[in-house]
Amino acid sequence: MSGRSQNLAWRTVAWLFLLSYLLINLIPVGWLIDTSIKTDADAVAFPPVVFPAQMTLRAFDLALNQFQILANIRNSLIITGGTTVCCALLGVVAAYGFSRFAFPGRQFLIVVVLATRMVAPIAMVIPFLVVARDLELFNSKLILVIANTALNLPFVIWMMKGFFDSIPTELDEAACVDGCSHLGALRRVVLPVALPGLAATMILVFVFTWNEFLFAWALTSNLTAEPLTVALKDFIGEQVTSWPLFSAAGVLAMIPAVVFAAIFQRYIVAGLGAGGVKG
Amino acid sequence: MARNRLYAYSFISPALFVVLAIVVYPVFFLLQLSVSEVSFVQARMATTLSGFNHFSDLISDGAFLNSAYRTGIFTVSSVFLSLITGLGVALAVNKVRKGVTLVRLAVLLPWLLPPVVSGLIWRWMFHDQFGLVNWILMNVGLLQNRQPWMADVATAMPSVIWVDVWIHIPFVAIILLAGLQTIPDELYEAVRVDGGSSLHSFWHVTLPLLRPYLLVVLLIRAIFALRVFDIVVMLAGSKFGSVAGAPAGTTQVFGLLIWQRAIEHLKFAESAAIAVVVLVLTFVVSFFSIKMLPSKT
Amino acid sequence: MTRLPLVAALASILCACAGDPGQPTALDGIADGEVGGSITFLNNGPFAYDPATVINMDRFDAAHPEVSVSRVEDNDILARLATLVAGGGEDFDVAEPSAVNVPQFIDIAALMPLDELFPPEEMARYPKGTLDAVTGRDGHIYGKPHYVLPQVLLYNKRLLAEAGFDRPPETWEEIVAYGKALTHPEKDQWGYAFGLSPNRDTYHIFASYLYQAGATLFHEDYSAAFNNDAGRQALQFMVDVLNTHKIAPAGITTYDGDAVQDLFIRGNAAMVQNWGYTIDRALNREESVVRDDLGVALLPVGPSGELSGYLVMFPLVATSSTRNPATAKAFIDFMTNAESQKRMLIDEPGNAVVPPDIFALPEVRERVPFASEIGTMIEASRAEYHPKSGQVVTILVEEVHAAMAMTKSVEQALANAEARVNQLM
Repeated sequence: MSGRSQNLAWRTVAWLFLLSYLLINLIPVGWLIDTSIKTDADAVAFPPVVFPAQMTLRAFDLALNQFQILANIRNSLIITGGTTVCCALLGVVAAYGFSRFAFPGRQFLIVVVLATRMVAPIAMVIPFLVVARDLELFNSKLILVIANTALNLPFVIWMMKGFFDSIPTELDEAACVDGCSHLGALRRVVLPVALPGLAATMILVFVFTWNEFLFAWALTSNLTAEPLTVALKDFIGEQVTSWPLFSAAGVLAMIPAVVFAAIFQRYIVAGLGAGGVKG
Repeated sequence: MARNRLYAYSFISPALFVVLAIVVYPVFFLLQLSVSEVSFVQARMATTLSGFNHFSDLISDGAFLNSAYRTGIFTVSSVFLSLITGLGVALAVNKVRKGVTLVRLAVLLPWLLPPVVSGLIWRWMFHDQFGLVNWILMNVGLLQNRQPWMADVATAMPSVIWVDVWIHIPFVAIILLAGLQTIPDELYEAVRVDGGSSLHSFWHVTLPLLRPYLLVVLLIRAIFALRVFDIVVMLAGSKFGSVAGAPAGTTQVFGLLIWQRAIEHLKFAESAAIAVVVLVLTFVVSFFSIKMLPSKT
Repeated sequence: MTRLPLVAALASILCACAGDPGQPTALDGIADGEVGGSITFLNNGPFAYDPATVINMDRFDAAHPEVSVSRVEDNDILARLATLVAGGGEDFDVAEPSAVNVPQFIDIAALMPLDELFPPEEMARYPKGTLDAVTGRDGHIYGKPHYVLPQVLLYNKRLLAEAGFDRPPETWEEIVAYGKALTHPEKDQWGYAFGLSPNRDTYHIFASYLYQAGATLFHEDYSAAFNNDAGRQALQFMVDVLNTHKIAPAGITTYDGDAVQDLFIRGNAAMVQNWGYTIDRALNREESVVRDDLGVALLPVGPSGELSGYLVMFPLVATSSTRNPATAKAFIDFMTNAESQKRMLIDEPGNAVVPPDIFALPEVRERVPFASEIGTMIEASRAEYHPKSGQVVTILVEEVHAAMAMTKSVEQALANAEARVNQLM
């Protein structure tokens, strides 16, 4: 009985904490959405207009038609999708290797992998640009997929290794006794158990790539490859900033990431994991 | 055994190849640049090796020392605050039974915004005259006069940290949440059966089992914080390229200094030297974090 | 393109032995060739905001069917130029950087001399001092002014009248006196404002007050010329407006030009020193409340007693790496001819041009509001050249901001700035 009431008390505390956090969390995002449907005059009114009397979709119309933001969104989707797939394939396999096999230089190699991510991107951009030109891949979506894959793989490997480490090796051994390869064990037994981790990692890669600016800026020059983050900067005028226009672009930029996160966060559930480990 | 070893390499080599092939040349380029003098031959950068003078110059470089101090403050505060709050959020979300999808999405939202957008939105919200922050704080009576958040040397850095923490809590929370899901319910039940409190189970079950995830998150957050760039530029610089770290250098972190020396001053070698220092620093921080990671074997 | 760093290092040693690489390419050394083929133009910011530039490019396309110009836009031309010299490539042939960012690229021979675009009759159209910012140490001209941002004093006639003023202020003393009478923080109303965003804006604004005080930024040998009475008066005036008289909002050290403009067109600032584009926004933006109360005046004079200001310019420059120099020059020439300049002044509100003859055109007088004030201010304004322009901007931004934040005294800030500038050459 006391366990149940204690549980209720904790749940109340959790909810109160979460609600106050979410309030602070959502004010800026709400403000962005709110601003995107305002007129220019309402957007800069002070005291702020929270519930605009006149709502308009003019800003979205401008963003979509005059600034052709859909082309940038398409580029972003291709680059981010490609990167996420490459990272998942290469990263998961490598993480499994690091987690399951003892081999000379393991500790060294895994640190090296992470160390590649410690260079400030600003310092990496120029040499990378030289390479991109040599490969004649400047201003292509492919070079951004390659760049982002290289940038994100270390994290994927590290995180997935962490998740694989938490899964007992007996599990894949049991699978292999039944007669299957390591790759089979990974696919059929280990990966389903590590699904929450994989989902979280994929969200991570997607968001990092979706929001990456510096490489995207340096390696592209026009709509052929230019992703959303680079285009967004163009919405800021030097002489006048239309807040509704910028906000509308921001909202459009957010939607695909939200959809992706909504789909993938569903896999961040216990179920399989707990059951598998116990078995 | 040898077969097993070969097998292991076949697993890791594709990823290793991609990472190294793409990163080795830039890193080599950077190291070489940091010990060179740059000249411009027909408007193209050319380098001649010159030794470690750019590194020894840094010891007496006021801007570099200031950046080291500011980066330290930023990294420690931002990583610590986002880890603590993120852990709280993950634990709270883990307790949620109804509307899980919606709650999780709400938690994730700030992180899904491109930094250009969140930076500019916050810059606007921090505006001394028309900002939402001053308006809310003055209306609820927490503030008497309009605070120029980004112009005041006392509040500029805390404001930047606040925004960085705001952006990264979702990242911390989602990874820790995934970690929490791998902890079997049976363990909690065992504590409950033994009459342990929730605090007890948090301390003896959750925290130890979450340790690897906490450390991975710590590692990634620290790597990012040590070379933070765009969010500081959007908040404390200006919309157009300047990275002065105003007011009075209080937000001049390493990332800004590296950019300023290379892009604004065309001092590519001097900039590379700072980048190398940051690289070494990050490596040291990571090394100690990794030492704390439990080893599987 | 050398790929291996060691090869690059060797090559650079060889080149260094072969001759002085710092020397700009002599004009006659360029094989010009015929006008034709393709070039890439890098515009400062989105074309959507630059209607006259688009009109003029369309006119160029029509006049030169043998040329194809690909249009690229970017908000950060400085970074693009820096990336170009560091990373190689031929990403663009013509660009539109801020004149402040140009000298350091001239100094490493990244830009092409454009002297032949200035025959005597064209040269005569540019008042003395207006080409200084794009004229290199070697005397060659490396950029042709595409547009300039004139600084003017904008004031709210209604607020001034309410406070009993029937004319705009004409001196620094009057700015302070007016400002005090017009400042009512409880009503969200401020007397005076200027934008001191920590970028080239700070450099521009400080230089503007410095000129009004009668000093200049640099001596002939590029050493600092601002650490004197005039310099101290200029910086002290800026510090006092914010910290002593408190007639400007506390946040002006973070304001870009458009933030100052916001303050003014929403009626929260009675007077601002800002760029000319504010005129158009005050008259035409939907959120403007000062449409009927807009007053535009020349900048007030400081201790020097002379009308002066800093000339913010965006020239067109050609990269020295261009493979099509003849066409790049032809494009720049076309974009800056008298007809294009007229279009710029009329169709791109707020962006002005240098030559006074354009301002004298009846069509311009009729269609550009406050054309005579803008023209007069441009003629009275000037800019300076420093080969290490990037570092100079950083130094002045840091030291001026330290004085504004009162972490340094005015004397100390200027002395430090002088010492740092003098170390550069």
